[in-house]
Amino acid sequence: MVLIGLLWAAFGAARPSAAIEQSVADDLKLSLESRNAFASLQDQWLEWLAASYQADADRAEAALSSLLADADRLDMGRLPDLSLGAAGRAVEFASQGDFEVAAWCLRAAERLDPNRPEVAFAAARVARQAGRYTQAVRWTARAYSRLLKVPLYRSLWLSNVALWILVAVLASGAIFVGLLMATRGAELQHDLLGFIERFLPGPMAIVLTVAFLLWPVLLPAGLLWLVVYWSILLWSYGSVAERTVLIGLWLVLGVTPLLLNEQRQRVRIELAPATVSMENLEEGRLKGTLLRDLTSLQAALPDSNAVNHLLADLYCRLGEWDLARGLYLDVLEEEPRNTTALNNTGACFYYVNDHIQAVEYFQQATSTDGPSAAAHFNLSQIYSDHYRFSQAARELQTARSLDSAGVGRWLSLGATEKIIVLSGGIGRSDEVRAELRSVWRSGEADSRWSALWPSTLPLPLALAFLAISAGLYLIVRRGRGSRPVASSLDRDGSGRWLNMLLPGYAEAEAGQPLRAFLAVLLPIALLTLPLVDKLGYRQPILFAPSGALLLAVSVLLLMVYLVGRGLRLRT
Amino acid sequence: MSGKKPVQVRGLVDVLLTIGRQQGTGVLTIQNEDGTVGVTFKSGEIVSADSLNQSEAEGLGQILTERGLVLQDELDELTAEHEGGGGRLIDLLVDRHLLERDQLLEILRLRVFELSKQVLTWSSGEFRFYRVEEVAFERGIRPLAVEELLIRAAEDLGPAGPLPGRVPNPQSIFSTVDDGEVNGTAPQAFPFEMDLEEGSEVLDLLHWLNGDRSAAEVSIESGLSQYRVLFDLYVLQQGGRAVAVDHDAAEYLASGSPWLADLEGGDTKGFKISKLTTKAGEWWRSRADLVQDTEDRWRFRPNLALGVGLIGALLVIVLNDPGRFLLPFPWQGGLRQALLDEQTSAAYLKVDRAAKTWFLLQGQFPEQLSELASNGSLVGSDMVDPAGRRLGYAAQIASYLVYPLGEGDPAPGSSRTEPITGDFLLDPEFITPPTEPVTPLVLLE
Repeated sequence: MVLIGLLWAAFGAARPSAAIEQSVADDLKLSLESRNAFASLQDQWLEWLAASYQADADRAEAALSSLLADADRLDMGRLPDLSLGAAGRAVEFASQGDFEVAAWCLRAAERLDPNRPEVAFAAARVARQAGRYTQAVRWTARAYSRLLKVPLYRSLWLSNVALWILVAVLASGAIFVGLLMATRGAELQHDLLGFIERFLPGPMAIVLTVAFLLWPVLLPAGLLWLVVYWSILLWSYGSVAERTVLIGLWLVLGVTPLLLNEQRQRVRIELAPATVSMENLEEGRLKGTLLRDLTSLQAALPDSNAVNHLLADLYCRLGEWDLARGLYLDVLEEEPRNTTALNNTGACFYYVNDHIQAVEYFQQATSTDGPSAAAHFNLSQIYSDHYRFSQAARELQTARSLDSAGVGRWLSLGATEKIIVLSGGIGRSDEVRAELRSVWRSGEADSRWSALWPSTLPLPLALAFLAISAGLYLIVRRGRGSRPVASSLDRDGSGRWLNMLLPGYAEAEAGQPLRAFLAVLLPIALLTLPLVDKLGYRQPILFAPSGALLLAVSVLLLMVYLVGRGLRLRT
Repeated sequence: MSGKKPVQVRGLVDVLLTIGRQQGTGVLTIQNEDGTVGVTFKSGEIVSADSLNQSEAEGLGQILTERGLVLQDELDELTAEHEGGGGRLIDLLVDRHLLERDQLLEILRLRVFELSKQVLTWSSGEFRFYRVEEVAFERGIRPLAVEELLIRAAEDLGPAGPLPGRVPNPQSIFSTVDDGEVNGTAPQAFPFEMDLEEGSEVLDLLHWLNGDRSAAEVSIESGLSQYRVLFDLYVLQQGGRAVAVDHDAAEYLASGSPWLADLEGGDTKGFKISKLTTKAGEWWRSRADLVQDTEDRWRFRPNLALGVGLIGALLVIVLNDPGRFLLPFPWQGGLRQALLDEQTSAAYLKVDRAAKTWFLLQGQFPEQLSELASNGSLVGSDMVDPAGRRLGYAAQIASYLVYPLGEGDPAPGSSRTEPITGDFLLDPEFITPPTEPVTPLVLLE
């Protein structure tokens, strides 16, 4: 109890600051009952926390069961924040060597929000601290498999993979241009030198040739400019296959900003607190900031019917029937034949004992284009309440014909949920995302119009350079025959060393550009693999290990690659 | 160039020249009762030649043993190993240190020349050119230009060769023939199709002929390949547009082939190889004794140095800052910053989850960000923002501030304050019941 007192004191200390602002509950006009429901959750959590400090498993179990029952009553039986808290408590106990309490904390975390990757990572950490390494590996593997099942994490992971692939392709493309210069550049230099020598003496011509080839390094980001520049100069000396690869690389370079901008906007939506809360709501998770985030969502999209519908559904779950009804009626003004809104409006009227209005809305819900089994079922329930059993039976029959399994399930709910409320608004999260995206994109148009430039500039720039290059090529090479310059590559044996040390060199020399590019791509992809987190978006997953795993995978695969390459060169 | 055509030496020369001038890539097959030979072209130059009657291993072996470069016993042993699936003869020769690869490439080139020359002696047959995108050839082999083939074949075969009449040599000195000038050399019938009308590339060479420069000097000054110059001089001579002013030199080549002479003597193998490769590969320089060739000045191969240097610099970027490949250009700064903003949002979201989990357990925010790393919520890299700046942190009673450190001070515009307000699990005010409006008590006198 002393601990609880301390905890309350700590929480209480926060009051002066929090009281300065209007409470979110006030903003949302939540009733006392709803606030008490949230207060009960907070109380049960503190009870569980205190029990865990005292290693009192029975008391903790009672608190946990009560906590989950309260959450279930709000129709949101998963509590992600508390699951993280329980996992954190497990890691803390494990670090103190109390693995038994750590184990039941982990079990509590799993029950509070099943299949969270964070809980699996915490379990792996606990197992590692307990010296159970096999279990640690198993939990780590489970954590990564869970990671891909969480939409936010999956989305960020896919974004990171896309960024990694783009970087690997562009870096390999740049190196491929270097290979082209090494293997095909002799002729270019010969032509340039020959042309300049018509006007200048030998040493000066050499200096000018080198300057002509290297001047882009003086530009900002000069090395990458140099790559683009050389790719254009070497165009004239490449085979059809080499030119095809170069065109592919220019295209990737040109569309990269477009892809990045598109991806960035999508990630921005995914990371927005309102979106995270919406996603949690869809999956029946009750997040601590749920109400605050949805309030901010309403502020961001004040005229959105989808947001009103979503909030109305949330109010229904909280039992705030009057608040929900007001929002449903707003929705119905714009969407008069919205079946789920009509049904839920009827439910709102029912729960405030206005059965006449309820019947009217349920009947409207049954007459829309998509007939609703729930509306027929709800009508049967009201008719039954009013002893109109024949009508009730008829409606129930209709409901059964539309959704037999659903009706069976609803009947089993019995008294706890007599009237069925549908989650049509919560299912409109994609629509809300699209609206958010539209609003934010239009907001960006003024402030970040420069971001649009990259999407258009590189390609025309490359084409302009190409035209200039083609002109220069005609001037320089006019009247000249072809020379077997490239044939000198193996004269001093250095080619052999380059073949061994430089992936892709042998293929480029043999005039196989695609194979040369792919030969570069593989090691570059492996080299950049550990840098994926640095390249992309950090996964907001607690208790996850650092990038050591990716580093280990990268090193292992690089070793396999090098051994394979060594064997291939040997044979 | 599709469909079969009967071989006539002149017709074949036309085809060879056309493939060369068009920089064609593909395989020219020539067939008659003596056999079938395939000549492989890459970008207009001959890179390989094969005979149906004689495998590459057999042809190579024949040259090597005839020249005394490899003993018959050694060759037999290697051939047996080769036929037993032990690898290519070329590789076996190098692996057994019987020949250096560079030397072997020159010998292969010699075989290509011999086979190509052979078909120029055929008086009948058919040929067909298969144009393809890629062709197979021994990597590193020095391609044989069509002009070189024709000039050298003419030297070797004399009147029976592809170029009747006198063939210029590197020391030949030519001067131009003015229109209408009769100089004892009336235009000859061309042995192949050749256009000497205005605009023809061959006529460009006339600018370099002044009755003083040798063919070698013309080659150096014009930048054209040596054999190209000799061949064009031959064409101009045949067309009556140029005339040799030094007949002794012009007849020099007719005295016999300078190639591969006296190799059967009692020299050691190394010396023979040296002579062979020198004569085959460096013949031009040894004969002409020229001043610096353009390629000599590029002997250190700057293109290789530049290419490898660029690759090295790029690898440094790959390992240090691979993100630079995504948006490298200055005008992409806006998008770069926007991308960084979202990356920072993701990083802050992780910090936020860790800090609020800490609050759930402790009833307050941690005093230091490092406390979140020590309890396992975060890892070391989470203490740094995506731009690589260390994160600063300040906790208050009901909120915390996180910001990137720029030389000790918060960098403007990138900090984030996260309160507990509105979080029903953390904010005690959230569950405070709404205050009912209180009717003021008015005391009346």
